[in-house]
Formats: sequence, C-alpha cells, structure tokens
Amino acid sequence: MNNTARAFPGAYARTRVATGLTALGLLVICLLIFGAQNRLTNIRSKHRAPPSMAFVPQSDKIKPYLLGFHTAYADYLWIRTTLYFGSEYLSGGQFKWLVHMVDLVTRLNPDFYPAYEFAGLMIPDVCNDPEAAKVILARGISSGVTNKWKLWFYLGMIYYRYDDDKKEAADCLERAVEQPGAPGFRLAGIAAAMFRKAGAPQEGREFLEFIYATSENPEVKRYVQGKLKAYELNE
Amino acid sequence: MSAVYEIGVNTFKETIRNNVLYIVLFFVVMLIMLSVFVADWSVFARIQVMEDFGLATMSIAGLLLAVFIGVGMLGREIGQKTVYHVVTKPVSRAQFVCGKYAGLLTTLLLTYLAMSAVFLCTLVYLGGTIRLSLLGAMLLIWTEMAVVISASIFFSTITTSMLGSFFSLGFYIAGHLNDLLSIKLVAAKGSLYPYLLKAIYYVLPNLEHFNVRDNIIYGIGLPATYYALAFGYGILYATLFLSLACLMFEKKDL
Repeated sequence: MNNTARAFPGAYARTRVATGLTALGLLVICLLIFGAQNRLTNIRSKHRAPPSMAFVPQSDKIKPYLLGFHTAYADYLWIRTTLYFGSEYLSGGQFKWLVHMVDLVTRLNPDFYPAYEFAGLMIPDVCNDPEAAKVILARGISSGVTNKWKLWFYLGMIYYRYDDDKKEAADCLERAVEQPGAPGFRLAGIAAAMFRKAGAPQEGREFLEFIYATSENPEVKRYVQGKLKAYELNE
Repeated sequence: MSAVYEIGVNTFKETIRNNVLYIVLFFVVMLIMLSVFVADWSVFARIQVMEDFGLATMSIAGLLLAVFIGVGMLGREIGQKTVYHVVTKPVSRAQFVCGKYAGLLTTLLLTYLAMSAVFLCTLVYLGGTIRLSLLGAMLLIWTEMAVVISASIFFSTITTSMLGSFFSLGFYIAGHLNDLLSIKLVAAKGSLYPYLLKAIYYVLPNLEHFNVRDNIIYGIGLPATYYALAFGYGILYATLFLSLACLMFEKKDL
C-alpha cells in the first residue's frame, strides 16, 4: 500500500474493487467469446458451402476489360482455383469448374507454369478429362514457359495411361528429351521402353543411339550404353 | 449516460461532415451499379453475382470507413488538443471513448443503410428477391463493421493514426484468414505448434463468421441461431475492444 492509498483508504478500496470487477468482466467476455467461437465453428462445419464462383468469368473475353492487369487477375484466379480444388477434394465434390478455371488461368497468363503442371497431373485423374489436359498442355508447350520438358512428359504420360497410345507417348517423351534442362538419360530410357512396347523397337534403338552419339556427358553415355545392351538382349 | 449521448451526438455531427464518408459511399454505389455489368461475364447467374459482389463491396467499405474515419478520430482530438475541453469537465475518459464509438457507429449505420438500400433496389430491379437470409447476411456485415471500428479505436489509443490504420487493415485480413487456422489445426503436429495455432485462433476474432456470402449464393441455409450467435459474438468482441480502448485511454498521458 503506498502513501496515497494510506491517505485515502476508501478511494483506494473502491479503485481496487473497480479494477477487480473490470478484470472479472473482461474474463467473462473472453469465456463467452470462446464458447461462441466453438459453437459457430460447429454450426458452420455442418452447413459448409463451396467457395463462390461469382468472380470466375465465362471466358477470356474479359481480358480487354482488365486494363492490362490480366496476369494479376490470373494469379487471383489461380488462388481461387487451388481453394476450390481443396474444398471440392475435402467434400468429395465433382470438380465441376476445375477445368474451366485452369483453362482460364492459362488463357489469361499463358506463361503461368504451375497451372500447366496442375493440368497435366490432376485434371486427367480428378476430373476424368484427359482431353482437356491435353489441350491445356499443348498451350503450355507453345507458350514461353520454362521446364517445357515436363509438359511434354506429362502429355506423354496421358497418352500412355489414358489412351493406351504408346507410340504417341514415346514421341512426346522423345520431344521432352530435346528440351533444355531435361534429365535426358532418364527420359531416354523411358522413351525407349515405350517404343519397344509400342512395337517400334527400331525407333527406340535409333533414339538411344542418337542420345549416345550427341551426349557429351559420360554418365549419360554409360547409362544409354546399358540401355542399348538391354535392348540387344531383348531382341 | 447523458455524457456518452452528448459526445456521441457531437461525434455524429463531426463525422457526417467528413468528405471521406461520401467518397467511399459514392464508390460503393458505383461498384454496386457496375456489378450489373460484371454479372454478365461470370459463370454464375446474374443474381448470384450481384449478391456476392454487393455484400463483398459493403464489407470492404466498412473496413475503409473504419480505417479512414475511425482510426484518425481520437488521434485528431489529441493532436488538436480538443480533448482537453472534454476531459477537464466531469466526463470520464471511458465515457469519452464510448461516446466517440457510439457516434461513429451511428454515422456508419446511416451510411450502411444507404448502401443497403441501393444494393437491394438494384437486386430487385434485376429480378432478385429479398430473402431473410440475405438480410441476415447484411446484419452480420454491419456487426463485422462494429467489430472493426472498435478494434480501430483500440489501436488509435495505443499508437499513432498511421500505425493504427495499418493495424486495422492487418486486423481485418488476419481476422478473415483466421478461418484457415482451423484447417491447419487438424494437421498440426509437434508439442508446441498446435497450442500456438490454437492460441492465435482464439485470440484473433474469426471475421469469417460474419461472412455468409457463399451460403447465400448457393442457397445453403444457416439456422437462425447462427445469425443470433454471430451477432452476439460480434457484440462481445466489440465490447472487449472498447473496454480495452477505455483502459488504455485511461492510462494515456495526454
């Protein structure tokens, strides 16, 4: 107790009571907030609505009206796409708008690589629409994105897995190998195996021989040499 | 109580003359009108877009008004030393803060009613219907506005107007992202991390509780108890922030 409190004990006691009541009041408010928050979350989880698609345009005809901010809008749309995907995935939804959204993102910003990767990996499977994925990947291949070899690779895998077209798949992988930054020797092995499965072992052999002749990397040469030997044994 | 009323009336007269109010109101009305054209570009039906766009615009307008008018209000009183005229009279500082809040809230209520009238008229003009759930959503947006304003007044008692504006903006964003924490909590691992997330989740208000736009658009109804509870939740948070603002202002060296 300080000097002021000793001098005015009544006022001091009143202040202490007021402080105590304020603290108690704030505590009660916090507890009520805690309870309300939990209850609201519970009710909400039972009535969860999918994210709004109101800001998703019908087509890329909106581009001129975006006044040059179409890439920024594509970024926004991409965030909405991932949120939509997550929400549909968790609720076991049908991904009704997913193809449209990814298609729109790549139309508004053709250099946006993550959307192509998403199209190549997810759309054929979750939307059961490999044809749409092929169209989007083809757009990516003709755009200026880096890592184009991956897009060729995904395209090849779609031909292989969904169309059972091993020849087309091998051709795509062959194109993937030609792209800058591609892990050539690994892809070459897969492409050669596909050519063989497609009933075109000669093409596969020629492809491996081409890689062997043009590569300056001793590791690649060693790897491809091993594949060529395996080829000969199989023949 | 009469002191709070007098300060409130005075604040109302002061804020109603603020040009920022009319600029924001003008842009909101323009945006709601513009949404008629935007609606045609969407994959959704026109009415759904109108509802979403209108409600979102009103929510953001609340934030702008709280930041531009709410934060600067106390700072201006202190900066221009007009606060001395009030606190030297038999008026407690808590009454002063509450009066300021009440005045501002009344101004924003009038502005909000004007925005709502334009929104509902546009909606009806386009063939939409005014449902109870839509009115509930509008009530919750106003509740959110009341929370944001109380937070901005609290920030203005502890810091400068400039920083208060940033804090209010951050508060709005964090409050809306808080909902994501509940998702993150499910997958959180470790001894301390889940508790930290939980603490943040409960300390920050979840402003997403006031956002029922998706339910309105898809026609997924929420029970009346939800609206009542969310309204109560907002009032509790506003009371908490206002109490803290009063406490801070009591200790403030003017």
